[in-house]
Amino acid sequence: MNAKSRISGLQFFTVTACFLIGTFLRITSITSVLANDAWVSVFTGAVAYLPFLAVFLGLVKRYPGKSLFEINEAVFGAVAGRILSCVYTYFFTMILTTTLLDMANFIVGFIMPGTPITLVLAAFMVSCVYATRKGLEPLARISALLASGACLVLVVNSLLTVANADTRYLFPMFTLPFLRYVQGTHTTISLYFGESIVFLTLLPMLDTKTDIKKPMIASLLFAVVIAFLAVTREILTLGPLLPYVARPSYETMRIIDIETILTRIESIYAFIMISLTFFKACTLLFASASGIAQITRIESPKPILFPFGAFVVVFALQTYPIVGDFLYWSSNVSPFIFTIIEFILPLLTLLAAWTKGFIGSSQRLHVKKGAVRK
Amino acid sequence: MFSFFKKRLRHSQIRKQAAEASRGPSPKPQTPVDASLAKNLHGIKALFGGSEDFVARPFLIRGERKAAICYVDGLVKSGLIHEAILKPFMIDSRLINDMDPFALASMEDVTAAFLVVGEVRAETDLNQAAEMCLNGDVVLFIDKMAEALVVNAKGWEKRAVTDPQTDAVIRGPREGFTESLRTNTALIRRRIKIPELRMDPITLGVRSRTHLCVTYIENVANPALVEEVKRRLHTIDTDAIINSGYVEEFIEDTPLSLFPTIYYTEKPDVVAGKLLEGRVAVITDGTPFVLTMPFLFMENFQSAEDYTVRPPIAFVLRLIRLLSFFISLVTPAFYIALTKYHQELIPTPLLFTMAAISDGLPFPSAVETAIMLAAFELIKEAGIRLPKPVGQAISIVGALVMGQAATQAGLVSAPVVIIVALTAVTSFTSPTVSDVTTILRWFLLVLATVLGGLGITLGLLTILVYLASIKSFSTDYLAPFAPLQTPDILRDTLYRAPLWSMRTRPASLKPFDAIRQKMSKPNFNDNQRPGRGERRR
Amino acid sequence: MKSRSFTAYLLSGILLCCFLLTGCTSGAQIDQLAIVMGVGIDKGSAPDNYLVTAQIARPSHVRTANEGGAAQGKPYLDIQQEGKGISMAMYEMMRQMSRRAYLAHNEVIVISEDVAAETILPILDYFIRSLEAKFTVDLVIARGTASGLLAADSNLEQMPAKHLQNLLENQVKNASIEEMPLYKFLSDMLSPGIAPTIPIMELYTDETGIQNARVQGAAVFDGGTLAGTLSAEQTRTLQLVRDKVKSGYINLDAFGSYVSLDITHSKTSVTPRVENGRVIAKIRIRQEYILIDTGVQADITTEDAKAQLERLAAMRLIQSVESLLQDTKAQGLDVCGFGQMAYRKYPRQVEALLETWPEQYKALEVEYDVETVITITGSILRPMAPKGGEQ
Repeated sequence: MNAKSRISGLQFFTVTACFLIGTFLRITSITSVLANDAWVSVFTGAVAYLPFLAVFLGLVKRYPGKSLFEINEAVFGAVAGRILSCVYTYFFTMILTTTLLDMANFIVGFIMPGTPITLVLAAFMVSCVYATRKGLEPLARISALLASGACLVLVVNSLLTVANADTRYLFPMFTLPFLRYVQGTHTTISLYFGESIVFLTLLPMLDTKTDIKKPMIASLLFAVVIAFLAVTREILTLGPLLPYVARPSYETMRIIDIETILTRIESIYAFIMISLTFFKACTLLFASASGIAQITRIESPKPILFPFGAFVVVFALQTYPIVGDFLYWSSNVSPFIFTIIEFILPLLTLLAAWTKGFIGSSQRLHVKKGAVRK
Repeated sequence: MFSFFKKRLRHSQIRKQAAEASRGPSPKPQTPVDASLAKNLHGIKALFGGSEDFVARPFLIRGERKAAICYVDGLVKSGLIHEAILKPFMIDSRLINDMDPFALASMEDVTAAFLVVGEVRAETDLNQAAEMCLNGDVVLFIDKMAEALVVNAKGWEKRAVTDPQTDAVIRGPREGFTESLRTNTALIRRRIKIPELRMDPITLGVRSRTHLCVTYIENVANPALVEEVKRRLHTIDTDAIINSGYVEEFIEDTPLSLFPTIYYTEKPDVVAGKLLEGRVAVITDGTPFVLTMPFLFMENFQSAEDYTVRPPIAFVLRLIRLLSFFISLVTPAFYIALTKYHQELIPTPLLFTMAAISDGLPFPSAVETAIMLAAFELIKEAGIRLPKPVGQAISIVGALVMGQAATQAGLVSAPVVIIVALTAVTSFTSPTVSDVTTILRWFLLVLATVLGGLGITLGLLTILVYLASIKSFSTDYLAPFAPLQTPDILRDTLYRAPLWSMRTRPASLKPFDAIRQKMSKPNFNDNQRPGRGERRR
Repeated sequence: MKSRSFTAYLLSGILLCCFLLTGCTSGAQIDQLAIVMGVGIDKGSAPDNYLVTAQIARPSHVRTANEGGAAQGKPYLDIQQEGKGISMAMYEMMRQMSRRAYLAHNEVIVISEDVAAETILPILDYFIRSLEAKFTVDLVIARGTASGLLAADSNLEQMPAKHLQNLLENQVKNASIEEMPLYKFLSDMLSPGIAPTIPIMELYTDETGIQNARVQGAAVFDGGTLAGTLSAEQTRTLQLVRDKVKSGYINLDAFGSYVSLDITHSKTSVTPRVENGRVIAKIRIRQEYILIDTGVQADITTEDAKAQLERLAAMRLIQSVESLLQDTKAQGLDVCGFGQMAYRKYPRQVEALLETWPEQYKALEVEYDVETVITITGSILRPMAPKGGEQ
């Protein structure tokens, strides 16, 4: 919020890395689709994501220092741009809601059964609002710590599960029908890598001189490595149980049984998950609030945060009162919605921007392509 | 109803005052020194009223020209007055044959050839002259001269340089600052003997007229930082500055926060070390505590001791301090969360023990822990001001009552006593941060009672975000962790790297000249390969 | 603006304080928990009913390192309850208990043979879904009643459930059985081409009349139903084929007396291949021994003698594997997991075979490649015995 504080390239990388780990720990759809070949979708997803990364970088290059919402308005004009920003804002709110619900269900289901879910959501949201009101700069600063902590826990957990790992579970490879691999890749892109679109809203906070390409590619690589490590560990430990369990990362930690002391270290997973979800929720809260601020022409999102946070809590409680519905929706329906918003819309925006530049540079009178909305 | 709170806090008003930076101390009335001695004496006596310790001593130069000296008894060295001021004027002037006392036209003539004192200064304002008297100077008035001479004759009772009370070290200098500004500046000058060590004076406090000294090393400290410190000091417009704590509260970044952003110390070697890192120190007359700024969170865990013991030991000590901080903060909350919500984390034999013990206890574990923690805080606070003979007895009673008797009476369980004892002991490894943990651990305790592990996590995250948002004089409070500055982390935060490897100053302070040394690892065994640095030559 | 945000925080602070009053319903002090150490499942008196026995620890009677000492009496309590499903039985059980049953420290689930003969899947379902129960809890089949096994005398431990679990762990060390935690059993059950096993324990009465528990072989499952049993010897062989032997011994009859060989090193690898629609498995075993005990008076450390002993050991190994395979082939239960191994290596060819694997298993061909080496013969060269007639 402060015009003076800026994020460096390294901090941008750690922010994105933190966000991506948080996203990964949440989703189960990768492994439930592809069972013991899930690790394949990590790589194919990364490769398939590259064109879309190029789209983002293209947009950023055209409009340096502007956030996603500002780019929309610059390309499509004030009215159409704001409508588009509304769509994006709704999308971010949706992700925020699902993330919060996921975490709350996890806590209420696994860690502390019997807690009223309202309490969990409300307490969580109060901390998020408090943290976001200070701007995202403090969060960006601590993201390095969070990301390293999460990596450390992941690595240690993997080492501890080595005793229970069985490499035979990787085989047989590539026996599933081809369409399943496509589905797995699609799920990976839209639910995991694709959420990087949120980072476009953080751009104004960057130092004007930083090159965004390197941090984005670095974070993509990081996301791939983390996902690969985690998915492989789950395959090796759980084997045929993988398509049946609700949360593979959690279950792998339940299996660790070392003497009588380290038998239930899945609580550490819970701790990390809460921290990363906190970070992710703060970022999404900031993104949504910036969107609203941009649309309604308020200078800074600070005053919106508190009521918006309360709204999100109520929204979360009302929209998915039944956990089963929620899980079904997030595995089967959301990838398609997300694909449209994460990929098709930015692609259109970039094409429109190109066309605009093309028209402008050759100084010809044409109907602006941006005015046509599909 | 909330305006009631607003008026009470007046926080916004403090802020507004600080924002009006151009306001300095209100201008003082000016009275010029008159040529007539009688008028001057009359004027200056009127200022002091009937105070007994103000002395105005008239005399004649060479028996002819009227003059007078004014001083405050108790603040001056009487010997100096007699020997160096009165005697030359009254006696020695007669020994010079052709000296004409009326030929002395200005104070320059007096000081050039006549006066045998070191530090002298001409003064044309009577009020200023009076203030100089109060600072221990002697003011000399000569009839028919429209100037006064201020002669430095400071000599009041001051405490000798002794061991500092607060910072105890095993190996290292034991000199501590005293209440006298000049002694303190000398103690620092003795450790940094370059003229670039600046001591810029500033006087604050309308009624206390306290002298402060802003100290920094010219080509090392960031000029913007020095500017900022001076700017903030100049915004102070208050009645009195009694000790450095006042200064700290007026110029710090986070006035209401638990976490200090300015450090204070009693040891000159610590201040010297911090100055060499690029920090600015403020010395206040009348208190042995010198302020250094900026202050980062990790400095809480650094002590002067670290630099005198061997690197591996310093490493372990630093880690112990960090660990103790964390333990002292989280342990009670963690215990409550474990016993109330997360019993599956407790190993089974321990669970049996705890179940057997908690059979028949009147309070749930949260209340137990709260009671014991409160009892400990009470004993601690009482123990600070206990007179020495009584102290031992009270502390034994406290320990016995809390520990043994409460457990045996069945009021609390033994694990709770252990937890509280552990918390207490670990809170003293880093004294500067112990006040903070005292309050924060209650916060976490309440969160743990309501929400268990989730509560502790959210509490820690909130504290972390808060710390990351604080800046101390434009330096991030959690540097070098947040933002990540790798060379600094490896040098002096989590552990202390060997001194020969600390080549640069901490980057978070943005020093003017970053390079500290060009040394490499000492290698004095001729048979072996040359060290890293040598190969490059 | 300042006062408004202050208002907001104050209000939310008050709200949060209200939550303090409610607290969390799942929070329970330790002395409100009934710590279940072992669960036993038998057939109930009514059809389709289960009789659930929960062994609950009594902490005040447990002898811990605490100086306070334990009260007199048994440190555990067995509570029984019948119900249609496990959860229903547990609910009914709560009516007899003053505290909430806490499954997080449950060590062992004992299932009686009769129940296993029908199916154990409904039983396991409760423990799988439960968030409190350990995923690594050990499974045991009881020959007889589960409640009887849970009442066995726990000679060295404080509680029978702990005693049973430690028994299992100890047997794993000398490779007589394979410990079967819940998740492992499920993994095996869900993989095609392998029949999972669970160790069998039985009660026996020793000379002094005390009832003790001991491990006696393993039960083989087809899907979730008990399909056959293996003897102790066969279970040991099973461990050999699955390459789980780390130590053990072989007793041979040779040269007129006994020769005991201690296994120092053992490695088994199974290489499957597919020929003409049949699976052929090549089992390669390599074991190293040292001679630890013999009743033969002559020197058996010569090359010939050693070679002969090694041959005998190899024969013994092959015989044991053959006997295991014969028994299991007769019932169509692939305990060693040949089908799974073949599928992993040649998924497309074996996939079709896996449909009817119990039949295919009967036609499985096995080739042996056994190598046995006696490395050291102890610290003496030949048995110390006085020569006849000499002084």
